[in-house]
Amino acid sequence: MRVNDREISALALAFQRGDQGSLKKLVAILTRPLLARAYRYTGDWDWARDLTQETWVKVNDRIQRYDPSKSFRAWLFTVHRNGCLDHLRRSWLRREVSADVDAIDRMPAPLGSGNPEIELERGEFHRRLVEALSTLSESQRLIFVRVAMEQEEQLEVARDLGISPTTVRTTLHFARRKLAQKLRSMGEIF
Amino acid sequence: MKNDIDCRAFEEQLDALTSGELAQSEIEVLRAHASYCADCAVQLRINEHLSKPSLREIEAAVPEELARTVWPRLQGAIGFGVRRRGGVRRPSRFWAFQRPALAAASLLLAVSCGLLLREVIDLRRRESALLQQVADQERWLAGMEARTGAAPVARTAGLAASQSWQRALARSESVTVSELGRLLASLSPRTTVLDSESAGRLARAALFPGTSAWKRVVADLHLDDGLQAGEALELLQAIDLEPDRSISTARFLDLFVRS
Ligand SMILES: [Zn+2]
Repeated sequence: MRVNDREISALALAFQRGDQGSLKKLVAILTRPLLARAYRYTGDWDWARDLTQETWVKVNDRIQRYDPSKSFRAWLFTVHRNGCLDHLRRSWLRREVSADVDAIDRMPAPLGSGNPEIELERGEFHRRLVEALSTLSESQRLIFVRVAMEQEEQLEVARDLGISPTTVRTTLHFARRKLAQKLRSMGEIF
Repeated sequence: MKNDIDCRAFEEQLDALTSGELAQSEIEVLRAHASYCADCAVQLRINEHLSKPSLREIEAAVPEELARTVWPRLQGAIGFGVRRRGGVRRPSRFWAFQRPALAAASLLLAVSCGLLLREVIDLRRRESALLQQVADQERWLAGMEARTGAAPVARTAGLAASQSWQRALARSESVTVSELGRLLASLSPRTTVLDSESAGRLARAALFPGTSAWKRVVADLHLDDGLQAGEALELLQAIDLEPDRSISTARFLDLFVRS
């Protein structure tokens, strides 16, 4: 379902003013992108569902804080990203990352290669990549996840964060170098 | 080396690769560099990992039934139907579970183990009075066993030891939420399904997933005098899982051992 940003923000404004039917429409339109993003972070559909649900509960609780002159989609994705990153932080504290071997069984066919060995290896790589994110500074992590994991345009990220495109590019550069170092220190997986 | 690029150029090209702007020959140059530069090889690996599948492909692959469950669950969570200007508040009894399946698994585990263990002890004391109850539970266990494959779950086989209830759980690969619900509902609500020691185990098992929400649920229970069937059923319903959600026994036996 492709609905433009302006229509989405109008629904959000209606919900802010008390129209609960608009929340249902927003959920129908935007749940899939949220699930996909959470899956990207966790590699696990169960977690993706829980994190997405949590995001909608937060939207419901905090809708008054949304500024209707801005993009609701961007606001929603920020709330969601923060929730996903908090989830990763908790997993780093436990040193137990959720992209476990079981998660590979739950990967839907279109994403899997059908080859269990490749899937196992992918899962292991994902686990290490997420673990390696813990070594980045907050700003490096935020920029890396937006550009590399959520595949946002660098220019878009720069504009949204109010920083220069050069800052985004150099931060990204240091983030990648740090990640590569950390991944290499974790040993051979290729 | 002919056509070689340095690491800086490699990284710049990497962005172009992500957006699909590179020609095959340019991709070959990248690969050649990565074949001897370990740092760039890792960069390439990260890039490939995150672009196949792309976010858009993941979005297209979101399981339909998963997306469909979000709204009904949200309605339950935020107490929809209470009209209020400026959005709705969730009721205070809502527990924002981080991982319902794990929470349910903890409960399932603790209740099953405690219930069945207690049953053995009680049986010795007043066999006839509990005969019907035990028969029900045995039917439940038999149902579980009937559904299992030939191969026992390797990880849990070692746990089996001498207790039949552990063996039964180890041999069954999964149980569903409704199976547990039926078992609990078949008992008198005042029946103690967990003695205080097992209830303590429930509290410890609940600590394992590490979410404060689950701890709050356990904190609401009066665990000093154990857990009653009615409370356990209420708790199971509060976790709000689909009835046919199946939970791997390997997972919760593992949880039990670690707690
Ligand atoms: Zn290089």
